[in-house]
Amino acid sequence: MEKLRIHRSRSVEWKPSAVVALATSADGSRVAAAREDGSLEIWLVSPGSIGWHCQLTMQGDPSSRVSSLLWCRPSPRNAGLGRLLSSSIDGSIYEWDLYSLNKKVVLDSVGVSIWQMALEPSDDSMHTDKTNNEPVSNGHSNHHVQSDSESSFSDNEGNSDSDGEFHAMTTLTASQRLAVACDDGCIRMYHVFDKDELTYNRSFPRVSGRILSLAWSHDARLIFSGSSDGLIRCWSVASFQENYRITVGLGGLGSGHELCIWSLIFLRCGTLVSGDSSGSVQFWDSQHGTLLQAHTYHKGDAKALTASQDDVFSAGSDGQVVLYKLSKLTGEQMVKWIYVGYVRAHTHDVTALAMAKPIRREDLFHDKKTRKIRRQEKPINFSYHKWARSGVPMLISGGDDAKLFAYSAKEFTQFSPHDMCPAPQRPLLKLASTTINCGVPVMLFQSSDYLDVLDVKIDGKLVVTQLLARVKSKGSRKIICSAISGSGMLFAYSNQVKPFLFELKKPKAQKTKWMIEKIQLPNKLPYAHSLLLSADSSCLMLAGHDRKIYIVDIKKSEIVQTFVPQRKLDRMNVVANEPPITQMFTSVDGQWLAAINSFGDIYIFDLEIKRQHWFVSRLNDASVTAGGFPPKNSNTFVVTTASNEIFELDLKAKNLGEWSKHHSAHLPRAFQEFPGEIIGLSFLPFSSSTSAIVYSARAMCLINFAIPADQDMEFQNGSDQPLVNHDCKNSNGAMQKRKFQDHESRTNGNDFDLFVFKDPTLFVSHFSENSILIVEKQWKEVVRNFEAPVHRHIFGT
Amino acid sequence: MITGGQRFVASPPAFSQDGKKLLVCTGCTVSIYSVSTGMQITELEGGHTDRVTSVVVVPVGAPSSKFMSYCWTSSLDGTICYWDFASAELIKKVKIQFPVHSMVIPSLSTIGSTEEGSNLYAFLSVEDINKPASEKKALHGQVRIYNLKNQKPVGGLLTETRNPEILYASKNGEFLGISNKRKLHIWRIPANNFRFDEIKKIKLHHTKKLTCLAFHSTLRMVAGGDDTGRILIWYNFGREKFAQNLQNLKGTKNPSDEAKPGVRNNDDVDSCTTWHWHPSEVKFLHFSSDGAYLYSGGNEGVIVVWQIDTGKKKFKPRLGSPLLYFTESPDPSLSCVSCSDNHIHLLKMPTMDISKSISGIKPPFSFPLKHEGSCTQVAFEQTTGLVAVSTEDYCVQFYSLFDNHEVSEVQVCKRNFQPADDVMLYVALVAISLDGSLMATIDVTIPEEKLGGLVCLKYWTRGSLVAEYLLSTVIYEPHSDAQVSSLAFRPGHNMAVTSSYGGDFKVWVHGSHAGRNNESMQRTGWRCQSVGSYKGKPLTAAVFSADGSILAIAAETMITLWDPDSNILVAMIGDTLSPITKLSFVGKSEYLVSYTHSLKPQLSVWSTSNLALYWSHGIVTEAVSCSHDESQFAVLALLSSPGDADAKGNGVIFFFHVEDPVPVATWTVTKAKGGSLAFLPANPSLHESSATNGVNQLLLVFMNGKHEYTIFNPHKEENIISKNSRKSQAAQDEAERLGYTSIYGDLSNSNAKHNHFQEVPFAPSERPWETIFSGSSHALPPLTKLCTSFFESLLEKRLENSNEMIIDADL
Repeated sequence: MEKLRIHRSRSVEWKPSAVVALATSADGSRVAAAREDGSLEIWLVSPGSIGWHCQLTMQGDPSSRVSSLLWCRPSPRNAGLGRLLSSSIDGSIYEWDLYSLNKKVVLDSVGVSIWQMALEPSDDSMHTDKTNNEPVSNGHSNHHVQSDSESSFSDNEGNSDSDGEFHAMTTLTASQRLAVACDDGCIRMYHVFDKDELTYNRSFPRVSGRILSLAWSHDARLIFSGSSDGLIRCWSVASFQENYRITVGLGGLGSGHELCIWSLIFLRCGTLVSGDSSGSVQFWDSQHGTLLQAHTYHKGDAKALTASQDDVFSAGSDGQVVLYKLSKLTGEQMVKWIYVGYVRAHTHDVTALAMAKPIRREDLFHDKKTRKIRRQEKPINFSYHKWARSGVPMLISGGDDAKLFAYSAKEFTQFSPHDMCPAPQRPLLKLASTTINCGVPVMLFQSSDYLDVLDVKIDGKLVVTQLLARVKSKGSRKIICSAISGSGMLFAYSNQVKPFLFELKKPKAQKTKWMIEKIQLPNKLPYAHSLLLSADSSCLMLAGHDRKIYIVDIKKSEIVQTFVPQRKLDRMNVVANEPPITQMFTSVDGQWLAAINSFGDIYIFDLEIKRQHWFVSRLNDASVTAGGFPPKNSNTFVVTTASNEIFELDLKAKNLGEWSKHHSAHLPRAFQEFPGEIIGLSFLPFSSSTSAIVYSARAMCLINFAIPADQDMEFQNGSDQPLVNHDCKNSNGAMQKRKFQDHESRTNGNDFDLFVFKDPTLFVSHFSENSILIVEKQWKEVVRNFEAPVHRHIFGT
Repeated sequence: MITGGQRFVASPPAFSQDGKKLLVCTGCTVSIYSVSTGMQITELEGGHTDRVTSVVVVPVGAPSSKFMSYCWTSSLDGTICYWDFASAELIKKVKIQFPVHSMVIPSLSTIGSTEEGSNLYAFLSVEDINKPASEKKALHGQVRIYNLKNQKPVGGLLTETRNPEILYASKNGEFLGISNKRKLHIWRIPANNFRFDEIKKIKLHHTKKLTCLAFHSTLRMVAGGDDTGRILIWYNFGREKFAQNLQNLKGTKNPSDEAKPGVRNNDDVDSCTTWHWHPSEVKFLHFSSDGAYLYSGGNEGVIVVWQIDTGKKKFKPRLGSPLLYFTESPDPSLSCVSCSDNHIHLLKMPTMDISKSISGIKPPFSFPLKHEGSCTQVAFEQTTGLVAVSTEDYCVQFYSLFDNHEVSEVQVCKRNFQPADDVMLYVALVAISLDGSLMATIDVTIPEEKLGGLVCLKYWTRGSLVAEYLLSTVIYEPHSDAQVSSLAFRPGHNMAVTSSYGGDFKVWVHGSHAGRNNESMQRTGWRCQSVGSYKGKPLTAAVFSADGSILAIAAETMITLWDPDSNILVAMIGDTLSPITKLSFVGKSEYLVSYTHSLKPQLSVWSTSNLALYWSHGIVTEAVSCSHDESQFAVLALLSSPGDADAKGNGVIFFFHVEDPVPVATWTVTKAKGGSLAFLPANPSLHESSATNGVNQLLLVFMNGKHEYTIFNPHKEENIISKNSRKSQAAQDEAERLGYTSIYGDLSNSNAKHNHFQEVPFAPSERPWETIFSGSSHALPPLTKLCTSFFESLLEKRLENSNEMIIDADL
């Protein structure tokens, strides 16, 4: 085998949508991000790793735009993450069920837009004695995240009885009060219970202007509201009356035109911080409503605020994130908030900020045994690894450029921010390499509400894609999942109503046109979280939202088999209560079906004996990002996890494979620091090779499962791995990672040869034996689709 | 002998304690200027023999000592002097042995008066002269402590740096700092009578080269500026290291656990803020005395005022030159900023309006590389003793050589000057007629991408005031697109000649001379009378004879003589080895001096009577000046060949008699590269002695490449015999002048003031009567009210004047 030929395609459409809201879960480990198209993503740092990865994506309704997100505290009876609520512009509040992956209305529309929600803070004295028996929080939750304009006060659970009434312990924990800022100038108060809908409590008196921001005081006695007429009002929760109001405009400014208070937070020290449309971030004494300090560093609106200990972060429509710090100067008695610096990572407006504290259960890779090889230059900025550790608070920002960035909250100005998602809202692609279409590969492109079938022709170095067919989802509902058969003849998708199956046909009469024919599916089929067509295109495998797996014979159009994924194999016919299956893989010989649920548990089904064969619980507690069966060896299943580990499972032996037994524990360090989250795995088709390409949006790497990836590996000449550049192989044999200076002149070499992409890559697949297809798109071109940023400062103008 | 043209902005100036005087380091002396008039009051001379590097004014301790006016000065000659600057007396001199580059005396502010204070420690940034200069990496700079009381050094070195750095002290004298490459070193100095080992030090790190720093007046806050224009502010520096006692520290929580946003290398500070406005190096930082503002300035000539709490900025733009220092006076409404064009602007404080400017001679600027050959920056106006200097900001500055101050400035090109931009336009040539009534300038616009290049000849006539010139004629592209090589006026006539490298010369006449048929044309100024060329050769120099009868033009190696009226080639003289750079007639004699600049330098004297070379020397000539009456001339020669990259540029002035190839006198000078020479008639009012001697009234001016000048009498024997170096001459002759100025120097200044007030009875700086009556008549207060305030304002001013007069009389 000579060098791998790389074919690139840049023609795909890719329109990621802006991040509109962020919320941190109560334990600070997870961040929910709502996008403009109504979808929701859950980001977390998987244990053992430090990179953020997108655990879940839920499609929503693009018509009801999310205005704020809020993560309730988990109640003791219902441990877990707590309820995730989102308010929308149309005035309703939804709950996102992360367990069943659906969205339900918990508050019907109040008639006016809801701009923000704020959850009543918990009482300090109560939560301290509760942290001990709470399993999720890691013992450091008593001081980390204070609050966030978009999220709740994410301290621990427990309620306060601040308005003087006595509550029994049970009622305390049963409900949390939620204040909702409405467009009509009214703050409405609701009770949030563990389940079911919100119950209305009371409304505050209606005032002029729109209420845009809300903050509770820490003792839950006061609520501060910021409105569109440039006023901050302080309300007493007990009496539902206004205590005082603050005119925000500096020196009488802002009285003429409308000054919007976009964001309010209340700090533990009793200081209220406001961010407004003039770009000022102002610090107020919450007792008297007097101005302590004002900073105007944003050149656009100050949209979001968040705080961590003595640090306050503000983000604005100029793309800056600014840090302010509380400082006690020795010369003065007074404390001051000083401006420290800014970081501008986003090219567009920053709309949301959140503080998170990733939890890492064990420090797996803290052995410093592997020495670093110094190189001329680093292929990718690895500075993220210098500061990102477990328990280190991170600041997450999301903006109109669809990106999410993570910053070190403690060493904010020292390190450059980490791009959490180099390829946000990556469109899903599948390649069918052998097709009816004269052997020309066919690619299936899943966008949010349509499916494209493209044929892929190679014209020299160029890759020419041609649209063969486009299927739009009915009623422009969001497509959840799709599948294409190995022959490229059949393809299927499912939206939130039901699955659909199509056949691509070339009628004899017309030589050029392609026809799509809908194939009837059994009526009973529910909508699916995952779809799969078997290798011989005979049956459709469907993981329904009812948590069952259906095998459908396409010819007969009937359900052949129904599986219920189970943790314990001995029990028969139990109810389906496992988490929904989000990914499925099948072996080429059709014997095995691997189904992976949203948390990373793997269920293996034997299709021949029609039984569940094996259950593998989360590998190192990390969710699965990609998987696949090698084409020649169907008895092994390879998965990559969110902590950037690779496991080879021997299905027959129900154990880790040989390769995995030896190497999974000590993969080369270069691989652990793989840039970006692994999003895919590609095997060489029809070859005896056992090597695979593992790729993220930023890099790819070749792994050969036949060769032991020992740290001091001797290269065997007998293997099918060719040696191009034998002389420049690392003579010390410590680690097999090399940077490719030039994209085109890449050497095909060892295991864990890292190949860094210039542009965000969406899809990598083997084309033929020695060529691969890379589908990528320059970020510059993606950015062109966005609306121009509100503020863009050009030096010298 | 008079020296002048020193750089006023080589070191930061200092205000006197009452804020009425400004002490400016001017070369080896310290000049004291009145803040209200901007004129020099007196000069502290005789203490230092090299450049004065810093002035520290002793603050006023008790009210009784309000009229005390003492200062310490340090100099590169390795001495520190203690002066009473009210009477310009040297009180004490302390020898340090090392050249002192910067001095601060932090304890002055705490002790108050020095006399009763126990010990007075000066912190000096000195240059270690024991290390050879060739060692580039050697640490040449040292920070030492010196006890000024007993004149002994204290302890060892505080630090060593690559080069001597400027020292900065906080206002209360507690902290001392220098910037050393990418670090700030900060020392905390115990109150008084400290031991050397009690001084503690911290370092603050940055990633760029730090250029300046400033301490906050009350808070523990230090600001540093770097060469990329960033300003860093460190808060609460040295909280651990400078803690008063360890007990205190234990009570507080361990600060190392806290986050230190923006802080590098775990420095001993709480946090660090970065501001970025300046596009290039920050030259100065200064916290206002109330601590609410930070002033910063740099190359772009804008003072930025930062409000520290909010980070908001205000700007004082259009100062027209890179800024160097900012000094606040004890009077909060006054401060001054030093610009690199040798100007010190006095600013009225909250508004930052320029109330007065102390303007020195503007420094030379570098021409664009390929235009260097044909440019002269200096022309002398011989009747009034002025020098006209073309400046970087497209002006011609007229500077009085005898009075050492700026007389006026003529803007040649109507274009705003941006200090940071590339040179696109420059004044290439300046010529002034013998009687000073006419001026001609050539300004050149450099073509951009071969477009828009323009040569412009402008004729100016003198206005009513001295050195006030009004534009009379503009001639675009006098020699089409060829560069003009020389420009000369015909003595006694309204005629001028320009020669060009394009091969032609043009004789220009003023309209009144030639306007025969059209009367209106007469007043419209200058026109071309005749054009000539010689074999198409580039014409490199042109000059008229002293009586104006002959025009000599150098056509590369040939000298051609023309009749300027009829434009007839009269004669040709000889052949030099290389093109002639400059021509000059020697007085009224028949001889002509020329020199060439190329690889074979030559100074030649030609006889026009027998059209032959008279004598010549193979010396590198930089400038030639001929007296107008005598047959004598002076030559400024470089000691190095033109190709030689000798940076020192030492030179010799030869004083020749035209008959004799052996010089009558020689003087060695420094910085001769780019220098110029001129004969000036002695101003009788200033130099009565030389006038009464009656031997020769001509004085010779030597202006060196830095626009510092010396005026001396070339005929005085003792000058020639005793002193061969300019420096030692300075010492002697300065002493002479000291004696003079001590009696008359001040008087001449106050005379000027008196005259001023007599001529225009109410001409003080502020003119309230101008504003009192302005405004629309219906809005004006009644006349009775206005009159009283008007007269009051006059009375006040008079009172001030009389006070000043009394003080002057006391002196």
